[in-house]
Amino acid sequence: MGLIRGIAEAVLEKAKVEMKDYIIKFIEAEKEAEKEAAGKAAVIAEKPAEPVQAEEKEPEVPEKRKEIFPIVEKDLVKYIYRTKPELISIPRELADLMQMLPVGEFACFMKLFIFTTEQKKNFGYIGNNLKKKIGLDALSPEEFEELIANLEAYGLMKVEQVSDNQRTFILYIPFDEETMSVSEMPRTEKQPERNESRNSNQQKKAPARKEPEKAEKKTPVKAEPVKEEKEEDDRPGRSRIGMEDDELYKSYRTFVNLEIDKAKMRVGRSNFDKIYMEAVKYIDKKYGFKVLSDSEKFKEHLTNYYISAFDIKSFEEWKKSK
Amino acid sequence: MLDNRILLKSLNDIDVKLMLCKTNFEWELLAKKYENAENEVKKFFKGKKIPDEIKNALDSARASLVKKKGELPPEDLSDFFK
Repeated sequence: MGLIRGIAEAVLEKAKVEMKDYIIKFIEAEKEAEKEAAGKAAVIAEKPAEPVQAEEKEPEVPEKRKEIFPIVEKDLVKYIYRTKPELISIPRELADLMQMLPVGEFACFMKLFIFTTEQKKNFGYIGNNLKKKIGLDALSPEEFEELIANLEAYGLMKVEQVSDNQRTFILYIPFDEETMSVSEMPRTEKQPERNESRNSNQQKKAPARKEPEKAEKKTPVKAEPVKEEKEEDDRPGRSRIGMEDDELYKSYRTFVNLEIDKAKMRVGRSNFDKIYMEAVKYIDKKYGFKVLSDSEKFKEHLTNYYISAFDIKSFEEWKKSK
Repeated sequence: MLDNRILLKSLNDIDVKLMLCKTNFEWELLAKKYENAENEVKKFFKGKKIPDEIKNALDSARASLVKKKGELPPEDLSDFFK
């Protein structure tokens, strides 16, 4: 068995090296072709007799979109670092791949790599906020989108459309058993079953929690988020990958937003400010101080707190009542 | 090497600057400062007892930060639901 494994590993290693050589040769050949094309364009431009033709040919060069072949053909998985790494080190495998990237893509990938490592995970939301946080705000949205699209084409990144306006990404980082743990397995056909079992587990757990008296005594200001754990997966801000009824969930998010606005009007500005203060204290106590400065997480927990404080229906309840 | 006086001064600075803090952005800068100080202390006193003076200063700075965060205008969630 050991011999067979050894042979298999040797064959894989050889295949990797050959693939790498092939890609390098391909990129070089493409660069030469581009140079030749640029040279020809320059020669044509120099001819004074045919200015119209030169003008016609010029736009063809930038329009020609490069065909990108994936350098990673793995299904990207969400990882979480167990602890914040002291050093941001690049695994050898990743360094070899990054070396092959063009400057723009290399810089973007590197920045994303540093950013995600800092966040202790290899995924996040894509948007202007991300662009700013990785110091690429000088780029136009089109340029940034192009870099993202190219990285996706290289297979170093996976972009998912969570809703109309929200997209998430997963960055390719080789898995390290010692420092990382898998956050979420890639979507499979069995996913709905998992969701169902999770829901049934939540339903089973629900009766065990005995805090009805507390809930009855709730006032808007001192509301304790009792339903928190049950609704952990129903957070409106949370991306629900694997969920089939995305449209329904979108409606639920709108419903929560409206309910919060209504509650704000109902309790009045000063009471709402007090509830917010209580929420901040609660989140600090329960999830730690760091969450307060992590905008996305803070908003998630805050929404959750409001859901509990204003007795807003959970996703499951809301779905049943529809 | 951790200099107690410098650390205590920087924690005190957070308290002072919090009084002038008007936005969530400013608050985040101060929170980062506090987190750095806290990490430095934890790293330095790894496995040992943190002196009361430093512990109190850290607790007080954290309490002030949390209080201030609660006093600032509530985070706008509208874009979060888009």
